[in-house]
Amino acid sequence: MTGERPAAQRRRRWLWPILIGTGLAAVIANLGFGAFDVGPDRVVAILFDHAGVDLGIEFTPREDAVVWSLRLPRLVLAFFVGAALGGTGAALQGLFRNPLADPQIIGLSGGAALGAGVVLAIGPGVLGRFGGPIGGFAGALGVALAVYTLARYEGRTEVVNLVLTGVAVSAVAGAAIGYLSVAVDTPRLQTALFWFLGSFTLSTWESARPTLLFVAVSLALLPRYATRLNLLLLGEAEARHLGVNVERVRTMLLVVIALGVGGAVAAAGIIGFVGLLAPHAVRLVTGPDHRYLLPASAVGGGVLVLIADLAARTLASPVEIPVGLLTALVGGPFFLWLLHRTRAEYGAWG
Amino acid sequence: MGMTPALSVRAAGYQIGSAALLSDVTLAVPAGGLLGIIGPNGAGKTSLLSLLAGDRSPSTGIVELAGTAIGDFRPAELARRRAVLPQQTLVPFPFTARDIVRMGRHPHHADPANSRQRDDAVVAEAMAETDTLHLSNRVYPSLSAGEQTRVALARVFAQETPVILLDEPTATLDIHHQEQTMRLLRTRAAAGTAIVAVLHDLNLAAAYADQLVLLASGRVAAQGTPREVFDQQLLSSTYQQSMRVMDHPHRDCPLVVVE
Repeated sequence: MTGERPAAQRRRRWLWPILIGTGLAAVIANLGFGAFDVGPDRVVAILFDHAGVDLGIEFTPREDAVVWSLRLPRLVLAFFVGAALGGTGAALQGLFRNPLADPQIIGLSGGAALGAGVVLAIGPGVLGRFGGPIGGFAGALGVALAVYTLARYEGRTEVVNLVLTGVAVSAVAGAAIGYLSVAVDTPRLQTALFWFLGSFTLSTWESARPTLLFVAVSLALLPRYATRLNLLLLGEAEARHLGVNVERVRTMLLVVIALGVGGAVAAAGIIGFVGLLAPHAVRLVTGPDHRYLLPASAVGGGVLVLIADLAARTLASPVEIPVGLLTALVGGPFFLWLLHRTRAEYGAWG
Repeated sequence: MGMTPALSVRAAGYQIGSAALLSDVTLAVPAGGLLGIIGPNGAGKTSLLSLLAGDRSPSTGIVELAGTAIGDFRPAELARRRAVLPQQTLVPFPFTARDIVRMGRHPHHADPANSRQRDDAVVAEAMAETDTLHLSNRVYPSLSAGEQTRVALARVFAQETPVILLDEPTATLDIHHQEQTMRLLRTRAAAGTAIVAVLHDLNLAAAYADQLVLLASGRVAAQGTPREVFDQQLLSSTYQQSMRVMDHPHRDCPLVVVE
């Protein structure tokens, strides 16, 4: 009788109830609160009304318009963007064997922003609405490959290399986008600074659809790599000895991750630290097994961004704070704490 | 003539740039054999092991697994034929010891005859053999170096391969677990596994390996049974350390002491 891990399994039972409970509360709060408040009962009634169920709770056409046409698209987009960041963050930490990897910290988001910005500047042409996400995907993939090549040494990724590469890439991307916003006369790019800070203000249903597609494909493919990511945590040589085609898995994962990050950044700009916060919070409950970690980090990231966006819209109402500022305010100190702890545990490697 | 060896190397050389790390190495390990690779630091022991594992391709010569060039195997097939214990396995996330051992079962998950019950049984047996069952629920990064090595060894056993390669399996172990580990390897070999181990401790190598390869500067300085290889002058000159070879008082093998 081998016996099962009691602790991890018992904890894991709480995972989905917590995520779903928090998520539903965040959905109702997001749809209800804002410049114009709608009570939670009415929010639920409006949602059920559109599903064809009459709950017998009165609501006005104006409330219906605000909840269904204004706030719901933004909520769906925010959730998917957060899911992309949370899921890809968990995958990056596994791929780099480094608990400090995050799409923004290692520069993927910067690369994606630059890619999407360049497409907007020169005009998407035949790419149409898909231009932004495709540019974002190309930028994120380019940075991912560069970081993977530059920051690794003998199968390990040094914290310092990883973070400094990200700093350099983000600086270049920020400067280039700043230049584009001055030099090119495109309405979207003139608000580039706001976009660069991360925000859902400029997003519409129309602009959201390509992003939803990119993120959905990325999140659907990620769990296929869960077992191989677990094996990669033993080390690249060890994973190869266990039958993993390391080069192919690595390339495929970088493409899948770039799809998610590119799509998310094209719609919402750079929202940092979600890819760090969500997987670490989830890992406390699930342990490091990617079969549980990947889907839960995605949902956790989505819920986290919902909460952040609610705060962004309501804290300084009627002024809206860029949501990326809020995630950085929480995530930055968390990152510092994590950096400290990781270096204490694993030395310079981490 | 005879059976195809489980693992063989013919005239293999390995170069990086102009540096020859290995030259003209020839050896064969039959099923049931335990080959020890010994030699001073920088002699090419780990390079040889990585050729045997298929991690690197020889610049010249050939490495064969059961008569087939090792480069011809797909990664998944190779993983069912040989397992490798590295010098150290660092895991940056809190997997339990059992999680780590269970990863050794991955190559068998494509096999329809394999089952979860079989995985559990093999994992439990490997952990019992390596004296790690009591560590099952402990978090791997929190284990001592010696405990980590034994858990990693259990993972290698759980892989159930006809060939096992080990890079200094006893380096981090106390004397009790050194002897226990070498006895385990002998038992595995007696059951038909071909084993190659890089060993630093000459007396462990002499006591437990049936064949030895002494490497010096990337070349085979001697190979054969421990008695054949343990030539006092050869060992002393190879290690640049004066040594005396005598008979072990209780075991049927040579014993080396530093003069």
